[in-house]
Formats: sequence, structure tokens, C-alpha cells
Amino acid sequence: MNTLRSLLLWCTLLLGLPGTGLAQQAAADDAEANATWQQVRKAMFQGRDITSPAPDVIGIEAPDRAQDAAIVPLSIRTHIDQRAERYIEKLYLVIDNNPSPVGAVFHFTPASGRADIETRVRIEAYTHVRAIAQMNDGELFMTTRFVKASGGCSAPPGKDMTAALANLGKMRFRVEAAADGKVEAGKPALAQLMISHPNNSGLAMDQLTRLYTPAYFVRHIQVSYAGEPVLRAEVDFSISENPNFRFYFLPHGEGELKAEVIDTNDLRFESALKISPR
Amino acid sequence: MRHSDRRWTCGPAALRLAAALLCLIAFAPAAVLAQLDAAAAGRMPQGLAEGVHVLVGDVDAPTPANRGEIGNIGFVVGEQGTVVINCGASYRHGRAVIETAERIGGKPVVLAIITQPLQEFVMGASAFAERGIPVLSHRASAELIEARCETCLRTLRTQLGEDEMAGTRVVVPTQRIDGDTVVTVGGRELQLIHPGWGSSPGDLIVRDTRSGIVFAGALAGFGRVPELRDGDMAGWLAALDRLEALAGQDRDLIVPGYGAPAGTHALAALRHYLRDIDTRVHALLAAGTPLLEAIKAADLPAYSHWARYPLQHERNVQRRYLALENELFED
Repeated sequence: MNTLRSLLLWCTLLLGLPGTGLAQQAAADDAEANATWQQVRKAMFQGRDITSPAPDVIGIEAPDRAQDAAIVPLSIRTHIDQRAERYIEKLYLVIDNNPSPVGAVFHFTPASGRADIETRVRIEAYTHVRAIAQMNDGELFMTTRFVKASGGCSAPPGKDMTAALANLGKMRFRVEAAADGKVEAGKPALAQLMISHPNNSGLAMDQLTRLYTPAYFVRHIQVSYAGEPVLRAEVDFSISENPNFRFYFLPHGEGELKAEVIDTNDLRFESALKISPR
Repeated sequence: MRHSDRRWTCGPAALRLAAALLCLIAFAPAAVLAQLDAAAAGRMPQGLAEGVHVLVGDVDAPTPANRGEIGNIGFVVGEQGTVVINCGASYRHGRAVIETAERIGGKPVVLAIITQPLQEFVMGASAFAERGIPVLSHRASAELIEARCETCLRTLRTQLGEDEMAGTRVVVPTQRIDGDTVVTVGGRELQLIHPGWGSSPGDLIVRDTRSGIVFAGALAGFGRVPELRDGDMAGWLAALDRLEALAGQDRDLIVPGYGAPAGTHALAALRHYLRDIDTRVHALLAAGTPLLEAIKAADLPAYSHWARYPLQHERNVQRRYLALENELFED
């Protein structure tokens, strides 16, 4: 956690504000050369080899041209069974041209079943989006995708901040089950966690007051099943408002699927589901 | 309202004539250019009834080729002045619109009405403000213009270029109404109807009492995928009922925000689109379809010939999906 936060800070300081004219011109074919990526790579992975692309291990899906730059759906799919002897331990989500390029670090275990993640992110400029998988033995695999999105005629009208904050921390937690409402023991089951939270970046100015809305976002998520961790994530404001995650866990016997969320004001939100697999 | 009207109609006639002449001279080169532009794009004002005209604009997204001139602009000419409905997409466009208005009616422009806080209707207001022409909208539209149009203007500058947008600034309407209002401007009575939150929180329908012609603004576009971003689904359908009743009272002619004027029969397709997208997205969400897949799965081929399909349709699917998803937090 602290490592990530200091790293984020370090990246932000080092890089100033990327996403300027030149960065927006970034073409789809010079993924490795991107200056931000070079810095992130050096800071996070030093001189380690990264296999890229690695279609047998990891892929990323996103719209080529985003419908709304504030909410760009991303789907990271992996092709490795999470076995005790070999599994994906970490997934880094890097959005080169965002003010804070490392948007999330996800931690998985063999109890995750699969290391897939779907979420929605803010993308402030045309950018490469990367998912880097780190195996339990430290081997690295990367997938890259170029996404065209940039802030447009932004905020839709709607509930004011007060009304939105009334739902703050409300969570919807569900599991994809068969027709009988059950999941199968020993087979990765898909779960979805939705959190009502403004996830303010601190970078958006209120045009009426000319003040920046203070940064306020979900920073830590922990999901366990029957007391065993299945997903842990350190995230930041690159994740869109109302953070939404789809991920897997491996059901085995009766247990509780439990999510714990902490935001930058150290507010803690919890939600749990009873699971009785078939 | 009457106040601003009087300002124009009661001024000393000689002074007004001199002012008009001065304006004519000052604006002549721009006017000639604007006329050529409009003609080149095949866009000349179209007469619909005595003193009622429309300049039908492009229906696609703004591009350097269409110069951002999206959407229709209405003109209602009275004995003493002309009212313009929606202001155009830039300062340059706004000036051309004023010139067109004064040419077709031979009367000074006395009021501009903005029906929705959309860039193609709003940005030209800078030219109206420069001439001291009052700009009116619903209060909710004025608030949205103030809150977000600077961002749209920045985006437009990148999309269309600094030259195209030169002189453009965001003008917040100074005349604001909260509900249905009848005004007499330039010697002509107009009904300004707020049908509730339909396509946006401050929708206005303008009905010319004399001809019975109804200007719908972005509440109704024909042959074009609507923008759901600011809309309220149930409210929009209800507002279309109100629009239909207003248009059906007398002369069955609606000037849409986008596309060619048509009778109330043309509203059916728009209603179907709104219902179809809603039904489809509800079903996808209920089936647990993730957003990324829902965008691909919600194709509605029946509307694929409409302008801005598929990009705007995909946007609408995403917006509807997120709106319905957020409703889940309400229980």
C-alpha cells in the first residue's frame, strides 16, 4: 500500500502533467517507446524482462473509441488456471497518459480461481492502456491496447453532490449463479462488486465556484471467501465514479464472500454474501 | 419580457434606422460570406408560414467540414422585430444567423431563445450578446450552460480549430423562465412551454400562436439518433405527448431540432427508439451482461440508417446502462 502510494506520488512528481498535446498524438504502434511507460517500467519493474504480447497469458478488451472518457469499460482476461504451484499473483493496470499512470494493482491467490478483472476507468487523453501480470515466480507478461478517449462536454446534469453522498458507500454485491441460484464447488464463480462513491480525482474544477473538488476516492478493496483472501486491490482515481469490479473466486463448501472497502477519508464499508455451492 | 421588447420598439425610429444601417455596413463582408457559405452547403432558410422560417442545419457530429453548424435555427418575424430560436455553433455562425434573420424579415433581431443547453444552440449567443440582443432560456438550461459550456467550448476549439471558433465565448442567458410563459416580442405572440425534464432539465417548446407552428428543439430530432446524456426517459416520452398535443391543436407542423420539419406522425419513430433502447438495456442488465458487452449487444438495426448511428447509439446504451445501474443503489 505505502509502496504504491509513494510510487504514485513519485510518478506524478517526476512526470509533471502528461496528457499534453504531444502525448495525445501518441500513435498506436509505439507502445514500448512511450516516455511515461519507460518511467513506470523503470520504477516498478527495474530491468526485468516483460513478455509482450503474451496472448496465452493475458489480454485486454476496451472500446477503440470510448463512449464517455469518464467511464471507459475495461476487461482484463487471463488464460492461466490459478494453481498453487503456478498462478498470477499481481495485475498492474497502467494508463500511460493519465495524471497518475498506475491506476490499480490487483492481488490474487489460488483461491481466486481466475485472475480476470473487469472495471471502468477515466481516460483523460488518447493513451496506451496496459495490464501487466506478475506470476508467483516473478515472471512478467503484458498486454497493451490503445484507447481513444478524451474529456468532452463532460458532466451530465443530475443529482447534486449532497444527493450523491447520501448513497455513499452503499454496495451491491452479487454472484453469477445457475438457474437454481447456486454456484458449483471447485469451479471459478463470477462476482460483481458495485460501490456507490464519487471517486473524485481532485483534478476537476467546479466552473461555478472555480474551486477544485477535493480528491476523495476508494483506495483499498479486500475480498475474502470463507476467511481466505481472493482479491485485494489498491486503486486510485483512475477508477470511474461508482467503482465497479467483476472478478472470480473459487467456491468450496459453505462460506461467506465478504468485501471490505476503504476510502481516502479512511471510511470503511462492508458487504457480505452467503454462498452454499452445489 | 415585454420590457425588453419595448426597449426595441419604442426607441427613436431614426436612431434605430441609423444603427441598422451602420450594422449593415459593418457586417456586410461577413454577411456576404455567410450567404455564400449557406448556399454552398445547400442551406438556405426555408419559409414555413407567413413570418416563420427555418434554417435546417447538419445532423451529424461537428466536423471542420460542417463547421459545427448542427441543428435547426428558427425565425419568427413580427411587425417590429424577429425572434431567433437557437443561436448557432460559434460567434461566426451566430453573426451569420443574425444576418439571415434580418435579411428574411427586414426587421431587427429582438430576442434569442435557447431551447436546450447544447453547444450548437449556445455558442452563437456571443454574437447576439455583442449586439445587445437579449438571450432567454429556462433557468435549468442557464445553470447548465454556466456550469459546463466552457468545457464544450474548449473541445470545440480542438475539433473545429481556433479560427472557426474565434470570438466565441460562453454567454449565459440573462432572461430566465421557470415554467410556461406567453410573451409578445417584436409584435408577435409566442408560447414558451416547459414540458418538464425531457431531453434536458430545461427543455423549452416554442409555439407561434399566429401560425400554430411548433419549434421542438432537441426534444425532437427526425432521422437522427438522439442524445440521452441529459435526458430523463419517462419525462422525455411525456414531453413528446405534450409536444404532439401542442402541434396537433392547429397546424400540424413541428420544426424539429434536427432534420426536416414534419407533422406529428414523425414523432412515432423517436418514441419507438426511446422505448426500444430502454427495453433492450433493461434486459441486458437483468441478464448480468457487463457494460463492455452490453454496448456491443444492444445494436438496434431498425435505426441504423439514422444520422450518428452507431457511435451515438453506443453512447446512449452506455448512459442508459449506467443510469439503470445507479438506480440499484436507491433501494
